[in-house]
Amino acid sequence: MKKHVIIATGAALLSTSAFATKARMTALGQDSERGSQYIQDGRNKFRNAAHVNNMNNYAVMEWGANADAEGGFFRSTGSLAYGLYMGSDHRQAAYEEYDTATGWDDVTGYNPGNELDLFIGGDAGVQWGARLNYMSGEDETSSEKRSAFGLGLGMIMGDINAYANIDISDKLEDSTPNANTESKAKLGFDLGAAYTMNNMTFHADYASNKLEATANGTTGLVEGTVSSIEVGAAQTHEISSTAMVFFAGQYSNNKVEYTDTLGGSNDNAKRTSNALTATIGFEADATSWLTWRGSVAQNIIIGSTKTEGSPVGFVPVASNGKKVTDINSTTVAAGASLTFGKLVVDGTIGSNVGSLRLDEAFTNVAVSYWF
Amino acid sequence: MKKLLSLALVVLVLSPQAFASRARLLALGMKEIDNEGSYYIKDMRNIFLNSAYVNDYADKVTMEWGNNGQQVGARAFLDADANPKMQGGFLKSGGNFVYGAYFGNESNTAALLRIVGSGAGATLSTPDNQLDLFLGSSFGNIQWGANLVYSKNENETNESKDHGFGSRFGLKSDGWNAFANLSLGNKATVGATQEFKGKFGLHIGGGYDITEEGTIYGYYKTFSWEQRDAIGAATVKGGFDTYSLGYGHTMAAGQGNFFSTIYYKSQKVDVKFANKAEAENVTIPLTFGYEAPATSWLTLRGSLTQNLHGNRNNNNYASLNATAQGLAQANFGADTGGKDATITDSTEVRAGASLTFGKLVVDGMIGTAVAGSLSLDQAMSRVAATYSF
Repeated sequence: MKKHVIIATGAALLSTSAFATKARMTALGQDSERGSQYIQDGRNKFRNAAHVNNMNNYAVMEWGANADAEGGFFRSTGSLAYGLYMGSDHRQAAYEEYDTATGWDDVTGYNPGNELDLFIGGDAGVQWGARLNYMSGEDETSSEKRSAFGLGLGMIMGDINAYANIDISDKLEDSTPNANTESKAKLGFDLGAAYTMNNMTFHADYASNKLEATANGTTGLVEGTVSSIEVGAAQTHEISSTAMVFFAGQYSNNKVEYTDTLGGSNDNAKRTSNALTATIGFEADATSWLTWRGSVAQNIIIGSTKTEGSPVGFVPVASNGKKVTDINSTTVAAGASLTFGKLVVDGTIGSNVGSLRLDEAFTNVAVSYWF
Repeated sequence: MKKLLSLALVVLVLSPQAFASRARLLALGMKEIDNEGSYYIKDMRNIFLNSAYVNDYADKVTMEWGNNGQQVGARAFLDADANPKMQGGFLKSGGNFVYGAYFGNESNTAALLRIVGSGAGATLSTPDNQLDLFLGSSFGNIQWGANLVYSKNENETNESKDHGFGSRFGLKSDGWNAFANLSLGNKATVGATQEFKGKFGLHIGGGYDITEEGTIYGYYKTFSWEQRDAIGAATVKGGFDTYSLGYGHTMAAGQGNFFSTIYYKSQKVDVKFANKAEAENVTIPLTFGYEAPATSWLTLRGSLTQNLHGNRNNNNYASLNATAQGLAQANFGADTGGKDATITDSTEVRAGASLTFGKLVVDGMIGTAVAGSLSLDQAMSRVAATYSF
């Protein structure tokens, strides 16, 4: 009897419902904001809101400084599931503010935080989910104001899942004498789908976000586009009820381009990155209370960035249209979960140059409580 | 019954199949520029020495923590104890074969020679984003393995390129093993005037168990290249030769093992500038090491090494660029002006530990943060995790 209970506990530990944090996603080489296309985790509902039906009845808190702290709860009731999440930073594209001094750069500009995400989902033969995202803030001392609103829709039908996340509005105003600018994101979207067959998952994702900035009393404007394509496949092996290994490959293409005709300028620039990335990872229960996980990823054959035009503040530095291999693409990540009944503490480990430090044993800590 | 169970646990903990990292072999006294494995201690790391060992380590995922390594140029990095390079991979059995892939195991030797080969020009790029592919199987009672190695990186803005291509072949059976590792293509360039071009490179060797506990082993490594830098137009030739012959002994002692090895090793590097820069080290190190379970989940290991004979004879480091001089000094000792000098303070003590949780083993070196201390804020360095599935 005891043996069966232990196995059942193990199943619950590695069961997808037990994990829901950015630390886990990071340790497994996945997108920590939007979750994974092939490993089930609570974070996946930020990519496909329909996952609120599969991952609920828990509260989660991600530790961090005020700008990084976030958390929420998810519950099911009858055939519906719902949730509230605060402080998430999953907004699809970092918001750029045009500044006459620095030009186009990756600074987010005035960001009041306090993001709010509301989830709702149900199962009507097909699992569906919706997510409303809202952020708003104003600072009269710096004459800045920002408001943003987005919508996420998702569905899961058997082995197929699909989603559409839309940034409906994202507007930043800066009315200080030096700037007096208005920057806004035009309709931005992130569309994707995944299909699972046996233990293989094939997935694709396309995202695009257009941004525009103007300055009062100045002719012209800055227009930019941030877009990405990801296509991949992954194979997961459940070694036992308490362990799994996965092998994944993904091709990604990311593009950032802008044109600047503000105040008589005539600048344009484009940055394009391509990568074919292979990822290998594992997750296993070391003991009944300790789960380890880790991943290694690297670009294979394809992995380079090129920048064209006359960008200001672009990262990496301009390459005049020439290709530069992305060096040091090998990435190893590790993490662990401490499970105390219904309480799970996740974190990443070993982030200090290959060392296991006990003075900073866990980073990116998150706590989830399952009820 | 209890004793049998304890022995079984020991076998599980100390089974060579359980261990698979640079940290373990370093703690047991490994001293090679590329840390490619041990010639007499069984460890998964040995697949980079003799690829036939893939047959012994199927169905494992292994990861070595770290960062980008020690930066010595704009796009040049070395693996170092204090700043190890991240790497990892897997081996999987499939029918009668074992196959696998490994990322990030760039050669320190290849990196060092490129830095030396940079001459007076900008530091050349070192190999990066390396991919190793493995395949192994057996015929009769002989196991074989093959490994293809590929790396490439380029920067079109300054027309710099680097690529490396090689292969490793190995055979082993009860009581012996032999390997031949080849460097087939090795080139780094900047524009049209600066070039490091590797000629043929070879690393051959093997081991033979003369008793159940004792192994004699030997190897020969050679690599030659040509270099041109942007300042001098002439092509300069360089060469690297290492050979070694040794004996290793593994003795079961209580619940652990006691290791010992003695070997003769000669390493020579030269670059034929007008004033030929050269470094030659001849050593006969003696190493003792232990590895024993402290508990069912903790294994401790350590080693003590000292030269019975150690001599260096280095000359004309000033012909090298500043970075290469520093690296030559770190790896071969100071310039002796062509005279013999004893390698002083060769006594070295290392320690390491493994945490074992069923099929997961976490290795690391210990006592490296503060000399002579067990520092808990940096409990383990060069950490690696291996999971058997």
